Amino acid sequence: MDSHQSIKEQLWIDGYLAHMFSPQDAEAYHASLLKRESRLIQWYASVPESPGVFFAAPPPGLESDEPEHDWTIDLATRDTGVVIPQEIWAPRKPSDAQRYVYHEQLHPPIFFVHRDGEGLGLPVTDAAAGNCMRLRGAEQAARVGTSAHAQIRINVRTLSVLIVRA
Amino acid sequence: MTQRAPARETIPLEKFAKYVAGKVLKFMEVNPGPASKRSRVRGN
Repeated sequence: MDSHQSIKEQLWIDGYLAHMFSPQDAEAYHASLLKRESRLIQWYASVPESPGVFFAAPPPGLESDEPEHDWTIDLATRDTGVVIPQEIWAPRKPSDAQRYVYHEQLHPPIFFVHRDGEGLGLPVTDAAAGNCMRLRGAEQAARVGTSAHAQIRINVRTLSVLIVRA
Repeated sequence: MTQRAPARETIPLEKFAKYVAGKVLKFMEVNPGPASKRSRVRGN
């Protein structure tokens, strides 16, 4: 199996976005919105037991001078707890598709990673208490770009569970 | 649910996380469900 195919399968099986959206939607997100197809994505683990991160060089024109030059495209989710499934936002009007998808280049996702580098997400108790200082890079600027506003869209997908008894 | 964040040039990750967490908690308050009992607020 070549490395490209291997990364693609890793993204489908372990990728956080594949767990959150679906493998197909995650692939579309990487390729269409981030403009980083799986052939451009690499995987790295700082220690052998770490689930690792998927990264890629930014698209041409979006490179930065920061030390962490590469984009974190996705995180592997092994042993990181429950991933709440969501539906990826999709434009309903062709004009919105043109404006927000075809003519836009998204920046990479912002993951809430704990300072220990292992935990992912913000526990509800911390969120309710407004305690977000346990996040890695809490004091650093969030990479939300310099746009005048941001929109938070929350989609929830319901799951149907079928239990079969022998 | 769509909310507009306050306009600003840069925002610390901690404040951004607080903002997102606030919106998710509000959403869970308005739309209670099984997920709200065990959810973790995720950023992406």
